[in-house]
Amino acid sequence: MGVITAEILTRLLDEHGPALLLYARQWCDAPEDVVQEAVLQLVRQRMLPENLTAWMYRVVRNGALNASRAAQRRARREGEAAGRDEAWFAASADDRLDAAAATAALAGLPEAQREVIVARLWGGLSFEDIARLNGSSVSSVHRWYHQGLAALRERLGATWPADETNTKT
Amino acid sequence: MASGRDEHQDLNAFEAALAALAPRSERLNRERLMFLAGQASLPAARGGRRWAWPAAFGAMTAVAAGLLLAVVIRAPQAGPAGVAPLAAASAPEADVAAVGGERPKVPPSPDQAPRPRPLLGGPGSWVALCLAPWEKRSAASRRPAESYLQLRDQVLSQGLDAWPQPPGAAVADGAAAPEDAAAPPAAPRSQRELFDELIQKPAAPRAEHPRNSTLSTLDFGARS
Repeated sequence: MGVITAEILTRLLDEHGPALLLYARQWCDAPEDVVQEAVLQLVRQRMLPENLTAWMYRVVRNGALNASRAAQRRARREGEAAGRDEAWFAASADDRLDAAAATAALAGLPEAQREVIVARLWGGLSFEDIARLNGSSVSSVHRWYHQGLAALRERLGATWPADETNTKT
Repeated sequence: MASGRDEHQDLNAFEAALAALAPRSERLNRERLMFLAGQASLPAARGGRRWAWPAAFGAMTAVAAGLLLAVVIRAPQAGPAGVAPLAAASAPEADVAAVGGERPKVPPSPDQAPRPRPLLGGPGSWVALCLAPWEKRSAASRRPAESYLQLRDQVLSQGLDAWPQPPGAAVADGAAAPEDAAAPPAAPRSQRELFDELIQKPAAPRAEHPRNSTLSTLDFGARS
């Protein structure tokens, strides 16, 4: 297979496949196509990228943005509204947060905050990597992350289980 | 201060709860993705060696075309070489002159014109010239066939017509005057001339010439 071996690809899909899907889902309705294309681009590389995870997120971001613009143009042309009512998370009984509510809350965040939260929480990227990814400063990324978390907690306040810390406020 | 710490802890707890949510991945077909990745990893798919075979094919075609051109250039000039002398030798006057010992006047044949250089074989060939240094190449093209190898190349490419007459052959035929001995070597005669001469003349010992011994074996006994 060349530089990118089957083992590397399998491990990449296992560890980052769902997170890459979620990351692409912020912008487009067909995140699996975007992630697939990103993987194929990775296979065509002659050398392994230095930071494989950050590289994948960059490629997925660019692909998702392009797909989003294409979908918007198609929707304007066809007079359809872009629907994005699909849940982003798999529901589980062990979850402390409702998956559907979390999806709605995340979708309602500003794009910058949402992108930082998804890349940080599920992608495992550092603040420096995220700053390089969206072309902003580390301090801005840090600020957006905390602002987004606070906004999510406020929106999910009804579903956030009450505990000792919550009763004190 | 305590409320701040509590809020920070609460935020951390919320962060952990949020991270515990598992993103959906059932729309990602892993098997198909691995298959497509294997296809994309092929060198042909990457486009890296797509030009190799067409380039090799083009190069071989060019070589074949060059060789064909060399053959075509050489072929027409080899044919007419025997036509003019043959016409001249078939005339009765020419035969009588040959019997009488005088060499018939042969119109200049295309043999006198510079012959195309053979492609292969020997130091005078195209291959040898291409390999020789540039300054030696021009000198070699002007120098007449001096060495045995050059003479061999000429005979192989142009036939027996290119074989020069040795000085002694003219004297043995009785046609050479003393002043002819000092003259430059005569032009090679055609094969037909030589054959006719052998047929009509008695088996006289000619100058030692390898070609004569060969032709004598072809004598069909038409001797006077």
